[in-house]
Amino acid sequence: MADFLFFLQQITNGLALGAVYALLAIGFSMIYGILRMMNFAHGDLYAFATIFIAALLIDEISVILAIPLGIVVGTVVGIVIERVCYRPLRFVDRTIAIVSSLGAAFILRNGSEYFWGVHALRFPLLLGQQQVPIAGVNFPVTAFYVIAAALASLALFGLFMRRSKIGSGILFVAQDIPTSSLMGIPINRTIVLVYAIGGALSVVGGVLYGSIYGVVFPAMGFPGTIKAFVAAVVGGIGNLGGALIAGLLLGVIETVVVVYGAQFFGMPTGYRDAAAFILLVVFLLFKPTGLMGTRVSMTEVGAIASMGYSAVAKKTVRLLGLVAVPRAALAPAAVAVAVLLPLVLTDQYYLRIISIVFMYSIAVLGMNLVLGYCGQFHFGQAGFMAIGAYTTALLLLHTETNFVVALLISGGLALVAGLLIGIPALRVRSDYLGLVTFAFGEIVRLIIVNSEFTRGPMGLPGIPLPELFGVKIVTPVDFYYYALVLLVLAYAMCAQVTRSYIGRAWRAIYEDETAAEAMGINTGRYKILAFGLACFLGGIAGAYWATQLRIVTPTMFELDLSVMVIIMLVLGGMGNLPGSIIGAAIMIGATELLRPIADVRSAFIGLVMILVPIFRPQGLFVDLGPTLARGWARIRGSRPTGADGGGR
Amino acid sequence: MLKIDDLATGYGYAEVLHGLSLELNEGEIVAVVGANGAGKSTLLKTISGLLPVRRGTMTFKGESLVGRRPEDIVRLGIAHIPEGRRVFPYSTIDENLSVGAYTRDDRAAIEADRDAAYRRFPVLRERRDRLASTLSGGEQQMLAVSRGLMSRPKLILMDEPSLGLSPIMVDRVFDLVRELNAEGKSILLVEQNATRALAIAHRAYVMVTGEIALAGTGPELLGNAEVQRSYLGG
Repeated sequence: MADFLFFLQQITNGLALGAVYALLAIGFSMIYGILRMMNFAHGDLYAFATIFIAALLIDEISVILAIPLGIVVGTVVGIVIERVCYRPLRFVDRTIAIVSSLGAAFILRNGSEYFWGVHALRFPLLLGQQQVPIAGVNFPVTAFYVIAAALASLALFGLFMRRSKIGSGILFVAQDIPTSSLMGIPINRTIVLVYAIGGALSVVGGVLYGSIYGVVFPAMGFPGTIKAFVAAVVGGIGNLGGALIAGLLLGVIETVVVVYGAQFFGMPTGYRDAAAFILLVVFLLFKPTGLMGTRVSMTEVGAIASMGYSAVAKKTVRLLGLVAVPRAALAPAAVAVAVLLPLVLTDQYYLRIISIVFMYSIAVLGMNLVLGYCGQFHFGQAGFMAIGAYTTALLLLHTETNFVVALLISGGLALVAGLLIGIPALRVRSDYLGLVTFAFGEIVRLIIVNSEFTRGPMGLPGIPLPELFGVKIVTPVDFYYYALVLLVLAYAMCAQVTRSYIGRAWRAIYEDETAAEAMGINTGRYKILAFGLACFLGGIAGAYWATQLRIVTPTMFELDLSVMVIIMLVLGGMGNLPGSIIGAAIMIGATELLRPIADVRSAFIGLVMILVPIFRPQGLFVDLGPTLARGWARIRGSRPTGADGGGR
Repeated sequence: MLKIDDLATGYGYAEVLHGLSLELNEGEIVAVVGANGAGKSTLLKTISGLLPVRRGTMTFKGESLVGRRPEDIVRLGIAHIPEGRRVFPYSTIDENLSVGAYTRDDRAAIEADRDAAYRRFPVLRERRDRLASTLSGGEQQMLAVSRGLMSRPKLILMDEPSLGLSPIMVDRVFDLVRELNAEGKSILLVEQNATRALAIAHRAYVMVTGEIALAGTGPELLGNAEVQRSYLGG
């Protein structure tokens, strides 16, 4: 009996947490549902506004004032995000819009850290801490208040949707944007409203979260996004009732898993966030349409809205991004320059940095295959780099394995892990792969932090220097060449694959998966291949990193790493292989240059992530190939046809 | 009533209409016929503000339509019934009709108009609480027309209303066009079924690759040997 009451108590706690998730999920699902845009800034908006409220309350500003102010901030930030990050990109490639939303997330996270510090802020327990003892088990009354408050705000929102004119428009815009427009519904205003409401609801969720746990902190943002994403997918995208139920369910599952996992299996509570991920994978396997089925068919909306424009935009991106002509001449030249560079550049600091650029380039090349060529969302490269790094570290530390073998095993393990999570996720839709890989990266990190064999947060120091045929790789120059060899091999592989029929199949899938399938392309197989190669290259990059740094720690593989790799890809241009290397060089260079302003560095990077998609969705340096080709041609005294507009 | 002069528009880099001129007087049925890809739907989308005007002028009752947003154009009294009907599939028939009156605030009159729609199409009334996706193609076309009427338009743009319907439904649709015209609505009708369209139109235009190739009264064009050969399969 006591056991059962204890169980009921956990369910109640879980429902309270789930109410917070539901509030987050509904906003996320609405935005996702209408525009097919994954708003990765959603959780950071909620964290930002909630911390803002906490800061006001610490300054002894009345609750009655602080909470409405916080909701206003959340609403305004939501509106600004829509206007600046999304509206200019509404008809551009979705991947690029995701980068922009990650940029907004960076800025918000950096903003709250800058204004209110990295650490947790105390949040008053606004709803009290009353408990009612029933048969020896204390029932938290607060939980009921939280659930009631969440349901009340959702009811209010529902009423608004039903009763107000502008609110009622949301449902129609979600179904068919152009036709809604013909009905006289102001599309832009309605979409702004969706972001505003989404922001406001998430802040209510944040206040409730603070009231349950008594603390709020900047790092609560990303898990918030993941939970909202999971609940939105499980509930059926765009299905708000489904999001509510899925949010509550998620809270309950998480709580039950954590409490009983600790009790029966000694599972560290750090695995809390894994529960969300596991729920998702199970769901994907059994019911890809979500808990309630997707009531509104979003694919259609997106397709119709972006008809024409998007097709043209995509084509141009492709055309500009493909640097076919100069490759033959440029590649050997670039390699020659790279080989000779250490003769000129003797500064060890620079050589180390360039080696790191090479390492990143390998990981970005992998991303380019899966995202840039095949158009499948892969957001968790950090996880695969971590697998590679830790595998190499453990092998070199504890066994006599040669580093080349270790390198291959590392890549292989990353590949296997990729197949394990990719096969269920890729079966359905690209968006799911995005979520699953995102979460996977975090899971890997959680396992590393919480495990004995990885020595948790302390990491694995003292990795032996690599050695091949009696030659030790010791100096920065040695490592530079080692990295260069890996990069050249990786690049050659990518160039070969993308030029072959496989690359053509990937591009066909990118353009139109259904059409590709109709052409007889086994899309599943090619998607898996792209993803597997990406994971493999991630593993190789990680393995190299471990040997160069001679230490691996979990902090190397935080979410920021995955995001960094995506930014490098977008900066260099999707579907542009040389661009991957250039993108990595720019980002590493910028990170080094921005060291003096470290406290606003990530906001700065976030700004770049928002501006580049708007002004150069095809990547910053995408014209570089043709430009260089023209220069090369001029040196040789011939002119390539047409490309430079006819000449004198 | 509607006057279009030297209109150019397109999608992205492709220009679809190159300097098109057209006129519609109050109370007329004007048909625009032409082959696939001639730019007929593009013309309607430009009038209703879904596509931006690149060049030329476009006025409705003396007011310029250039640069106006779709919602403003609906308010001016132009309803666009899109190709393929485009009813809101996950909303009920009742909701579909209500959204047609989105620009209006006179509740009682909206109610009356909805009743009028149900009187015109009793089959819709029978299913008023069902999702629009459950209707047949012909019923969806009735709903789409009724939804368009809910904004009390003076001019109705109809894009291929007979497309994909059974022969009986096609008859009913053309009867409906005449009926609406008799009630005082002006109609710009885009059709691939040129014979039927020309038969009911007061005047008509033949469009070829983004331009007007021929203009005349419906009977004139029907009798024209060139039109017969090129568009009417005769």
